[in-house]
Amino acid sequence: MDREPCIVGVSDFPLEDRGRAIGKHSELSIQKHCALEALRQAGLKLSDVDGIAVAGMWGVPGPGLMQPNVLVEYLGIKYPKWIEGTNIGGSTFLLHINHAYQAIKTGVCDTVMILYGSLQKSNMSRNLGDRPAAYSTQFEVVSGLPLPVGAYAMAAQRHMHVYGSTKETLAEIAVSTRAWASLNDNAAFRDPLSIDEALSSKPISSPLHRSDCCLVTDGGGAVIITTHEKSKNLKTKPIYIRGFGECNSHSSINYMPNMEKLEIAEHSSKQAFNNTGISVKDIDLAMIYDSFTITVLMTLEAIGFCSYGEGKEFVKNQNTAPGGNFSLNTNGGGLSYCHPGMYGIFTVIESARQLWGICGDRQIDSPVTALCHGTGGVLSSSTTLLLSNERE
Amino acid sequence: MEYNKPIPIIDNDSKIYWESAKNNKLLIQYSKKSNEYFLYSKQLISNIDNNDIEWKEVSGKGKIYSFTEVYVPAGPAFKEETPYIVASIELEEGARIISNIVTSKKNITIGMKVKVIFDKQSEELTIPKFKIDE
Repeated sequence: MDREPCIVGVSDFPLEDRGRAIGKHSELSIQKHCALEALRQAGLKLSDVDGIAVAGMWGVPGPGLMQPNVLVEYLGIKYPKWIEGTNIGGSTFLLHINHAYQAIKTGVCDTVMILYGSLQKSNMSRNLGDRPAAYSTQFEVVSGLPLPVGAYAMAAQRHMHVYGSTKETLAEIAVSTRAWASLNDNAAFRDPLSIDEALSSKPISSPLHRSDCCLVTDGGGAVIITTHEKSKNLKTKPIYIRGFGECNSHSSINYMPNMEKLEIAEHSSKQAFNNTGISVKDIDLAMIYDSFTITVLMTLEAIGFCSYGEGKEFVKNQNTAPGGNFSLNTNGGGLSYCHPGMYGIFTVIESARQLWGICGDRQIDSPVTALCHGTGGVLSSSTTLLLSNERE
Repeated sequence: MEYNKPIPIIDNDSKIYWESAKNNKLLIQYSKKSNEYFLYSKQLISNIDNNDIEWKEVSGKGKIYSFTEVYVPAGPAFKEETPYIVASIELEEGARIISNIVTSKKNITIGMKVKVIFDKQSEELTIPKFKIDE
């Protein structure tokens, strides 16, 4: 039996009114909706699922501390052979896919469902100052560092100081991402944004402005992975998981080894490319978690799309916008499409859709290989995935 | 006036830092074996064990490793003093610590020299903060 794991179904939750979930929902019903939609797309039933991975920020303190138990009960999945609930921040879902790959490949289970749901906009549950001053973050919380934005701001300040990137560099990313969002019907912010508007948007935590920060929206998503054998009878063409890697380094930004370099992304991407025969030059689409514009700049450099310090040249003149030389965050990203708190799963959903060629106005020209990259915490964790519609 | 900002959840790795601040002293951890200073989490070259670590008073002098000027505060308790500066300070002894830079100066830059001051908030809490060292 051909156990090669592949993605066969994805879905994201429909949003309205600048990122509010359509209809009356709980975090659980959002995930149920996404699960059934992704299964329907693949041509699978809930009873085919024998592995589940879930992470989110709902139900804490309380049942949300053990989210896989809540979802298995709510969805009535009988009886999973593989369960994953690790949470390393917004990069988490790529890590779930890494682990699901290994589980399916080695025969632990056949069909894994990865789930995420959030109502942080509707519930107004997001703010910059509600974190306990505990462990290594006690010093920054006592000092009033707004989290996570203040931590990314310190990294940006450092990146500007060491490499000479500027606020204009960051604005290029905000503007190109918005241009992609304008082509996505489900994006929360679709109106055009200019460099000048980005630069004159409200200062949040220097050097970052409003336009450098991800949105606060509701949202949810699901990804279904199964064996190549099972995929033969399904409605979608398999998307192959060609490489994966994961790494982390710290919890508080103060313990990031070099604040201007995202070294963990260098590690996770090296792991992903290792022994695949794929290089950065082969990547047709990069879906890079854009919690903040600086995250994208640092990730591009760390993965090796350009060298450290060259990111400012790489993103210049709208190089990553529609019609540019490099397809980046074609769904409009966390900056303009949606950001329900843990965005990583959407990098995979968009990559699969682009590789299937079903993206409508924003469809890029015949992509073969996509790179997904997740960043979690305060540049704390990195996960990389290489996806392709070709097996070899 | 009542102190309504976040209070540190003090544990064994931070107790002496906060206790010594009440006596206007800055103490951080030190590894005898690797001859390196750190606060809370170790980022040392050598593997060390707990017997190797002691708390030592440090100069309180250092420079700005990175910083941010905060315009949207971390909760209502910080609203009054907004904008304010949070920085990662690299001490002369090598360790980085996060605190506030208390200054009326504009044009703060990375690399500026800073010096510790002790900001007493209550009988229980004194926060080591930094000022520009001219």
